[in-house]
Amino acid sequence: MINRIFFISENNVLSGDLLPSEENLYYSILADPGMERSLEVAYSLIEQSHSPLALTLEIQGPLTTENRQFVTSFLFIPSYLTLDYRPVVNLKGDSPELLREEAVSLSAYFSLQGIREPIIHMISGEDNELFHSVAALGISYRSLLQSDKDHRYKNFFFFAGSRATLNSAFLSLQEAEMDFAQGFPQLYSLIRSNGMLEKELLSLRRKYASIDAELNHQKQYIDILRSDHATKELQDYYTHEYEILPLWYKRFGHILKVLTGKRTLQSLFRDGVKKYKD
Amino acid sequence: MVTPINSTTCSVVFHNYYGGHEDWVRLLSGRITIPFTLFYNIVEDSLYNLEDDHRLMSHLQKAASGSSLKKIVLRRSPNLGKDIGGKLVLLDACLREGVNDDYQVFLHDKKSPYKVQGQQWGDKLFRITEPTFIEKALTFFRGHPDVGILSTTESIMNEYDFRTQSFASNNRTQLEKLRAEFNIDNTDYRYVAGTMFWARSLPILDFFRRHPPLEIRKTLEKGNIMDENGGSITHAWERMLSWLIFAQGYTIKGL
Repeated sequence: MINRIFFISENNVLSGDLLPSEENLYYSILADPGMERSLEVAYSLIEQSHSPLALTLEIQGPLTTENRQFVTSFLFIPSYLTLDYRPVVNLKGDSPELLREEAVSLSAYFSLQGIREPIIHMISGEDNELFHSVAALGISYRSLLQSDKDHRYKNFFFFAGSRATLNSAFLSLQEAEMDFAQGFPQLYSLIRSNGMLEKELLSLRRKYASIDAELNHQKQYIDILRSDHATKELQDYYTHEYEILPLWYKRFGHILKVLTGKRTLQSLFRDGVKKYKD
Repeated sequence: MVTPINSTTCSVVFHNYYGGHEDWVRLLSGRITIPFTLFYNIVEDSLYNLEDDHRLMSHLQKAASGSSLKKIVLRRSPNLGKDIGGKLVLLDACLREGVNDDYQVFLHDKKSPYKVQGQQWGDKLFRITEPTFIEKALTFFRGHPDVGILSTTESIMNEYDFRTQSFASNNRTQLEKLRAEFNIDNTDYRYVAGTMFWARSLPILDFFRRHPPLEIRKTLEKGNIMDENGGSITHAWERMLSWLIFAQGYTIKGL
């Protein structure tokens, strides 16, 4: 798909047989923090899932501290959905204002946990439409593709109440996209190539950030090693015991080494010869 | 009731920054002879862990085949609070999964590149995974119900200066703050440096049920925090993990 499609379902729809798989097609489990064991069921499903899954929270009231902690625990599970290395959380509810408040409070909590740029989608009548009907989803997707607007990276959210509905929604989207690909083959091909290049760019940016961080760590280690550690003790010992002596004294010391058989005579005059006798 | 030695289990809580996951799992599986659950955290933004291997779990399971490993619980987290932050993510997972093994073994891939003897120090700490140490530790725990933490003798340190009645540590301020906040009033100030030790699960999990690991984790510093030139909450928690054992009536012992 050239747009991002999120299928939101409950545990019984998402567990079991393999779900249809396609680029930019994502699955999310619906959980209601206000309902007993709802988050636990979602946690267990995502933990056992072999493909990435996101969390869609049904927001009817403010989240508690325990809710925020629990949602954060999901984000550390390797099979939790990330896009461009950023975890995705959907908030669904009737009050756009409440969703915005909860998005801010979740982002703040995630940030304290080192999760800097989460993707939080708000799904309400005002912000993002949640489709329930396969026909309405198909029409809307087809109309976006046929319009002159930017055709890609729009988010579509569809609630699938059963596996059969999910499969037919998928087929309807595929059909709309295939028609677009046949109608505008060059444009479609360019959009796909562009998508791949953007992914590569993100991956390289991530690598660059990690290399930069590691380089700074190594600088830190060297500074510490040079400050008050054993190497500095050795350096100080050398400076105080030898380096501060006058040059003529040091040169006389080298002659003394030759006289006592500790150093070769040639090494006083040439660099490329054996310096010390074993 | 005392658990028979042949049915004793442990949770290995392992934090990884430097990669080499299969080698680590192979090493642990070869050494740990009692049934164990492996809680394994990977620092996702570490240069050594950038490869996104979707088949990592199956590779790890393969590396552990034929061993006493019961289950692997994998986590990925940003670099916050160094190994302490990673271990808190794993303790959170342990509580959420409801795993109740008898002991917890805290480990990480310690390198300390800022220390001249860093590798030797890491190797010494890792001695707690050797079969002879494990056997001795389990026997000792069974004979000494008052012991909550066991580690190598050389890793047990004490920074308290009784003359000045204060900690001879860059982390002094943070330690005093945390002790007051978490009501930790032990008078034995020994702790396991390097945070690699065996602990009874009961007091550890009991503490973290009352003080959620992620609530503590959010107070830790981001990135590669060091305490060489100033204190940190992260390094203070290195000490606190031992002291919370004292606060619950147990003691620590080096073998």
